[in-house]
Amino acid sequence: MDNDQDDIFYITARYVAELREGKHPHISDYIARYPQYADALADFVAYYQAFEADGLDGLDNSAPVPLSPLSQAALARALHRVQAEPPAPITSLLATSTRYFTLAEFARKLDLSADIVALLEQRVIDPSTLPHELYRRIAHVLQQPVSAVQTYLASSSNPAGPEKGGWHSMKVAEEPARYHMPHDSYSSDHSFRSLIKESLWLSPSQRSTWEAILDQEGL
Amino acid sequence: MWKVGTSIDTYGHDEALIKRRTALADRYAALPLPASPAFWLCLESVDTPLELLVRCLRDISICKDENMRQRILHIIIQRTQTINEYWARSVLQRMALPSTERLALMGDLCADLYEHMLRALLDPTRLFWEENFFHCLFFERKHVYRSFMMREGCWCDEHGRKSERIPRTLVSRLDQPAIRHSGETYLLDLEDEYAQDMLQAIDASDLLRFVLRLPERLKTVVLLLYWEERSSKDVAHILHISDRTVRNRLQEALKILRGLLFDQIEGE
Repeated sequence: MDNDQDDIFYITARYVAELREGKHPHISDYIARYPQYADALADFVAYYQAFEADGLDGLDNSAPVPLSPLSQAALARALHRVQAEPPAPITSLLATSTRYFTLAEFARKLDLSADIVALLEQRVIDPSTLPHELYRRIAHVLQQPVSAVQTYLASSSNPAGPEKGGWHSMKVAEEPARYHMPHDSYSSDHSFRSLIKESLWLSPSQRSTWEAILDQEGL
Repeated sequence: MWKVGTSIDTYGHDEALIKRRTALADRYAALPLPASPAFWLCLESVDTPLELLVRCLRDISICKDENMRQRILHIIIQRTQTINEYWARSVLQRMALPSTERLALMGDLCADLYEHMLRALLDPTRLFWEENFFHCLFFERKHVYRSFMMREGCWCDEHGRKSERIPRTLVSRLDQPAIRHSGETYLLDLEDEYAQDMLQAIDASDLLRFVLRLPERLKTVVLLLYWEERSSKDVAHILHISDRTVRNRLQEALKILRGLLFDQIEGE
């Protein structure tokens, strides 16, 4: 979700909250305050007032009840459609079908440093040491399911690194392209925690944030 | 802390948001061990916020287990089916349809909605679902409504659609003065008075359904003028556009709305 969409969600959620509290928010006030979202706000308010404003009270806290025949059939159709389209596998962290990232750009989005992102891209970090929060952030940036990110990072196409014969399957004559990152200077322990500890590029606050995440997830 | 995509500082309601996030985080932390009977009891409880179910659905320890995922999805659909079916009924309520077709379209609408919900719930990048489930559901239903209306040929493109027949049911009301909620009568200086009269003659709830189908740039102007009863000068000021632009957009919108009204009446 991009920032504009986030903004619109928050602003309209506030409008709805005010309405449900019995206040009478004016859409014109909202538009005057957020003119850049005027059309989106008007679109939501028109829809909300037409279809949602009266329909929710008393129904939004229902206990689970057996599905009606209509919902049962509709859910079966929906599940069939969703399961029929597996997501395309990720082939690189730095390129999706719609956009490319530089190492620095991707690192900024994850709140990591470029050296660690390069190691992630090369899949030389032990995936079992990666926190779920990192998977979530990568999935968010790439707009892909977490499972696709997990599959990508778990499939160690280069488990031993190029120097140790990890790229035997390559058929090209030239040296494989590599990021010029000093990962050889890191210890042989390629756990995420050790890389966080050793990275020279991470700021102290980033380091402590990631260490806290690792602690929280018991890694 | 509950994770979301945007800084809350921007929106001036930090306190409520922080409270909400803290409460959700506390509830999540207090959940029983996944897959235990107590866990399922908790998830099936009406007191458990749906946001928490979404978070559980996306939790790494659970998302590896397809059966658990399916079960949580099922609970979410079960807990929302009443409002979703109510919504589908209300979308079709004003459409003149044979009963068999209405039932089939209800099924289509619900299937479309559930498909959108499933995709969103399984997408960990849609973080707002973990914070405000129902608001996300509004947006999802809005998208589904729009797609449905487009598919049914009821949505307007930039040019709208036209009809020539004058609807009998509206003619009888055209000579009635337009009255504000405050009791005052009012008149806008418009070239297309006929279309304006038609617009004023329909109920507010119907108006919104028609306004929804307008192109975005026209929708805002009509909403401010008719829903909020702002003057064209106010609207120009709010939208930072000229009076002339307001009038032009309104005329364009009225032309489209007239076509929509004719279509609706003919359909009936």
